[in-house]
Amino acid sequence: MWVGSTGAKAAEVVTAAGRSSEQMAEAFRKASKALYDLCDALTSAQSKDGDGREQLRKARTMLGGEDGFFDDMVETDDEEADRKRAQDIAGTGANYLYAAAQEADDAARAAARELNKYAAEARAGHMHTDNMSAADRLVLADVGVFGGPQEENELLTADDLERSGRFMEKMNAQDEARFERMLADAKTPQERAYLVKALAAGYDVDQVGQFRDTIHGKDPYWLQQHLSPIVTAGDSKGDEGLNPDGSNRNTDYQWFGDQKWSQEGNTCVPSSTVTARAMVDPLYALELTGGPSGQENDPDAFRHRLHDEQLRLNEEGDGDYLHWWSDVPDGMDSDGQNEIANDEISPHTGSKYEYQQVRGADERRDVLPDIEKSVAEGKPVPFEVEGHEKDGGRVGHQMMIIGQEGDMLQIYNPWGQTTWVGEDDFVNGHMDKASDSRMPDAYAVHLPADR
Amino acid sequence: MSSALRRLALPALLMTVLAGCGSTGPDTYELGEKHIQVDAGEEFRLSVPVDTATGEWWYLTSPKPDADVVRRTGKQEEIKADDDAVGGGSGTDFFGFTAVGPGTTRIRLIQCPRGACAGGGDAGGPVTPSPVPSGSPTPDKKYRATIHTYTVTVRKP
Repeated sequence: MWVGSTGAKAAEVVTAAGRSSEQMAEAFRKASKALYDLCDALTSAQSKDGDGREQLRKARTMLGGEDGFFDDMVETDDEEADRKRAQDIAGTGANYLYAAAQEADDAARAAARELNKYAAEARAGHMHTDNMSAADRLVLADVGVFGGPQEENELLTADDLERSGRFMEKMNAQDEARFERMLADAKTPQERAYLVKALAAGYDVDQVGQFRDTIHGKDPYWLQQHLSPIVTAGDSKGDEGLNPDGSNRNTDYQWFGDQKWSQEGNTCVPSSTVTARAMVDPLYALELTGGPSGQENDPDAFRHRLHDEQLRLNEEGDGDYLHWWSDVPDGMDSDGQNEIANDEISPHTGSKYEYQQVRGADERRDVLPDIEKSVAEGKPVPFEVEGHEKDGGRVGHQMMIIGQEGDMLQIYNPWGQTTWVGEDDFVNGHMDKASDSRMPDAYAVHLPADR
Repeated sequence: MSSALRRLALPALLMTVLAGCGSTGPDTYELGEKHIQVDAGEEFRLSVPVDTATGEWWYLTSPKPDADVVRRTGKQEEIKADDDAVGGGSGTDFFGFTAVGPGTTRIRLIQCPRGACAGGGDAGGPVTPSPVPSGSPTPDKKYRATIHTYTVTVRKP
């Protein structure tokens, strides 16, 4: 049997190549359609813009030239009628210009969304290294997390592939040989991909080696449970209506055994940050799930460690407490939110977070392309929602955008669940679908910015 | 208790007492008060603490109380939280009722931690505990719904 340099078997290569070529064909087809749509929209916008300018020119002509000193002081009935007609025509012209600008803007945003997505999906191409054959890269990019459809649960993100390739290029010959041996000895494609993910998360070959000793030979289910907090079900995007609290009925709960990846008490910010880090850092995930030995399979012990970690991050982000002598967490401000995202997630994705308020629908629409690009690359985007009760009381909450497909966003809520909402829901204040009707409005995001 | 704490506690207690002096409106019964006696025609409320930060909700569930004895008038939620932070605070739900006529009936409130209840909304029907799939272990207590039953006796005025 032919064996690739990292042990990718021929069947894996053929399967991966088949899937990759299908995805590529679809990506080219859809990218082509996106560009044609953009072209059509720009032509239409250009036409509207031309009409608008023509109307404005006509209005300007109707007003005639300046009469001199008395122009503003004397207006005959005819002049008044002309002025009002010109005003109407100018108004129509301005509306055309506005519609043209809006159409061009919307079309550009839609095209950017589609093209960003396909660029990120050409995943094997992100791994620039001579230390691995094209066949091996193809297989790695094709590995899915156990428990859900491969295309919804790619184990290595575009960012993982890019970073691991970069780190491999910097290895000395000895480390390169050790890492190559680990990959070649991996028992499953998932084991191999988690080793690459560990490298991408910023660990050196010694640390990856210790990690490898802990996970070597484990089956794909064990690896998912211990190393990937989130699994996306195949039917997760279907619209099943709403619960009485305004949230989506179609929701996936995320479990380790019989315990959820959810917040304990008022710790939404630390909790969503802990889970986001566990998504990008498999060594950290294993510390939480497998304990000091990495071999435990005890959900209660996991829950205990998860809560300890939520408390640690509340302290790290200078979070609030119930009262001044309490040690019970009670919320966190925007400085703390950004600080713990930068301390915990950024070192493992390579992108610092920048806090940005998005209180208006236009601001939220404007920030969507950046969000889409980040999550397509595999960088979670923390964001805050809020709502106001009739009595004036305010409720605020943090969640994470962790996926994007078409015009939908996948949201992790630290209540231990994931669901999909429309981008229009994000823009128009319907994030209650991912939380509840107490907090429908997204008002701030933490955007990953490339270092 | 240290002397500093005592100094803080006394004004707080006085403020609570003074605030209570001016309060009017229907009688309010806390979570521990499960046996309630009211006069016909009187309005009353059931007050329950709700953990809004973790997505908890409370609903009136089935079987509904005898409509000849009590009638539901509405639900209000009050939330206390810091305006500058997210994730903090807590709430209180008030379920309002009118005592319609003499008799005894039960009011059942269901406390739903996130994901613990089904029904209502687009699914229709009453909100009830989520069914546990056959063969699955019973979920941990913190993930399960709890039904709180109040026995209400309405007296002739």
